[in-house]
Amino acid sequence: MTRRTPSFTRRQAANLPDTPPQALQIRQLSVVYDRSAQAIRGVSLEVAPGQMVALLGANGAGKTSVLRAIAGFLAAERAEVTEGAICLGTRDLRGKSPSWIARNGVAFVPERRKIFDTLSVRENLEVGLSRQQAKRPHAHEELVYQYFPALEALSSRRAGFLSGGERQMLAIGRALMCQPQLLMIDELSLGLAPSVVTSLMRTLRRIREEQGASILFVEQNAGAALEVADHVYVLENGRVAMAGDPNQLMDVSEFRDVYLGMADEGTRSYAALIKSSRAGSREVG
Amino acid sequence: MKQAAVDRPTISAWRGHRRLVRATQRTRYRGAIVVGALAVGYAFVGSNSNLFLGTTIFIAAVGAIALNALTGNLGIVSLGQAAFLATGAFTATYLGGTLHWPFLLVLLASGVAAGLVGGIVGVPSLRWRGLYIILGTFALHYIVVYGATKYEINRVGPGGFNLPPAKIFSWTITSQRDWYLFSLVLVALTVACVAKVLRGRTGRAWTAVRDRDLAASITGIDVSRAKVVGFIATSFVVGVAGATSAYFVGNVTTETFTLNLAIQYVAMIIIGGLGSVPGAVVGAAFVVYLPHMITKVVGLLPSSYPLAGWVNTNIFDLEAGLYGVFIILFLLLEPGGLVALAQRVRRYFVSWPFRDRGVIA
Repeated sequence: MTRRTPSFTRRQAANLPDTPPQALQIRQLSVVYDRSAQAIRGVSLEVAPGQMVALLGANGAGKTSVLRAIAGFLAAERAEVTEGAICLGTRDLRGKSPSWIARNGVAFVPERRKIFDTLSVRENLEVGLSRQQAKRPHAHEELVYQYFPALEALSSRRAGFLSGGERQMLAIGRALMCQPQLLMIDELSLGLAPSVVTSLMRTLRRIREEQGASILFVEQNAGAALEVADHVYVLENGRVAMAGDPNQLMDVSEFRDVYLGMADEGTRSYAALIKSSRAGSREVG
Repeated sequence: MKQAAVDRPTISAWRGHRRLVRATQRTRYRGAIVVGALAVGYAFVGSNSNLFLGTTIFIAAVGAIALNALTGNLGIVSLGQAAFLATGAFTATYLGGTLHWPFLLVLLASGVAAGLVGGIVGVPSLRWRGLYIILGTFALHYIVVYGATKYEINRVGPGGFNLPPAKIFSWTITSQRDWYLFSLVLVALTVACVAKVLRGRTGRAWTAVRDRDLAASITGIDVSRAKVVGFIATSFVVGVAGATSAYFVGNVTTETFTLNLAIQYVAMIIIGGLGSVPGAVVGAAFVVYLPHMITKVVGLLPSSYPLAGWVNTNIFDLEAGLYGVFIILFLLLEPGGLVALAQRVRRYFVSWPFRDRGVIA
């Protein structure tokens, strides 16, 4: 099957000036839920322009909280950023509303409840367009269909009838419509067949290469994440425990044992013990 | 050249989609023209009592369309309909009855007044969801009715306010036919404007907010603004309906604006079809016509029928009970209302005799 190559970037499609992508910088970020449970403490990370960064960690390690803090999504979850800074280039994102952050270059694909069931696929894609962009919606849709051709055939279908993989494609496609400088995806592979995950990961790499958008994604499947990421952060108990490029991390035996499950029979139980002990109490004292 | 070659499939698909949209629009326009022409024609053949009924239905439809946009499209269930109608009507009594402003200006100003009240309720509603918004609008109902009652007693006493005849330039709207035609124009304007807004960017944003407000916010939609604008815009339309109704009846008293009225409007949109503009019109017609239908059915019963006397004496209770029964029946059996029922019937005949081959789209 021949792949359609995008002949022009989305900025050209929208008649927008080619603004250089900005780096995301997070410094000493702390997030507290319900004024009682500390989800993140002192996390610092950076996503360089055009870089694909994976956030790994066990359940409850604070991965989703990091993404929500960046997207301004915490207030709805009764959580708040208590310390630290979140900047995209020179713009401070901390304390801003989710819609402001979305309009300023950060697209977020949450883990669940991400598409509008009663709207058609096409309407789902068009829902976030600005008044200016809405005058030429097909130019933006065309870009999405280049990466997800399956969506084009489904464009008139109600999104509520889509399968899990199609929903994920639609959610990522809609995020692309917002012309993001940074695309954040929570739990990319949740509930999807391995072949779908591989294809999605490849598409993300293409998006990064062809559109120049930075990508920050959360993934439970460490092996799949390592294959595509340029840089990996491993969170444990709300802190960055390890960071580096995939090759560097592969050299760390603890990472291999705990996250890739490559430990032999004897050390496997030890690795599981380390993992569970790190999910300790996080009450704000 | 390469770009053109690459883009052709998508662009042609897009054009196909646009063609389909235009064809659907054309069908809609044709349907609207036929219905409109029939409605106008009826003005010249209908009896006075039927034209009166038609006017009542049209004015109720204006209010129902607005409530349906708020509830069906934006997802905010409101029991404040009677309060917004009262705001419009009482503003009309002051501006039209006391200050003698021209009729059309009074309608606009009454809409603005109701819109302001809508904005005042809309802002706190940003912090509420679901049941709390219903309770908030419920509280608004009592606040407005209390204020209006005090105002009425202080100004004119329990008889209520009387309004002068409505006059547009040199045309005085007096006969039932005049009122019928005026309210028909008003409902046509409302249908056209609301349908245009709901099919466009704003309508999509409202549906997104209704379906998942958090997901809507991350697509760049300002959810708070959408909700407040929704409250203000729909309250404006309801206020205009309230003022029109005040002029039509010629008298305004707080006794009209009961909680029962608010519930009747909820019944209109549920029975007609949530989120559908034609549904609101059909629902309004159904609910307004229901008491007449009951009277007719009772009239057909033989006088020896054992319940005939009871039905005649308890007709109002029966009517209120029937609204409840219809709401429950529709919610259980056809949540899409009469409009969805009609579509189902149409689909049945379109696909007949090849049943069970429904197309999902």
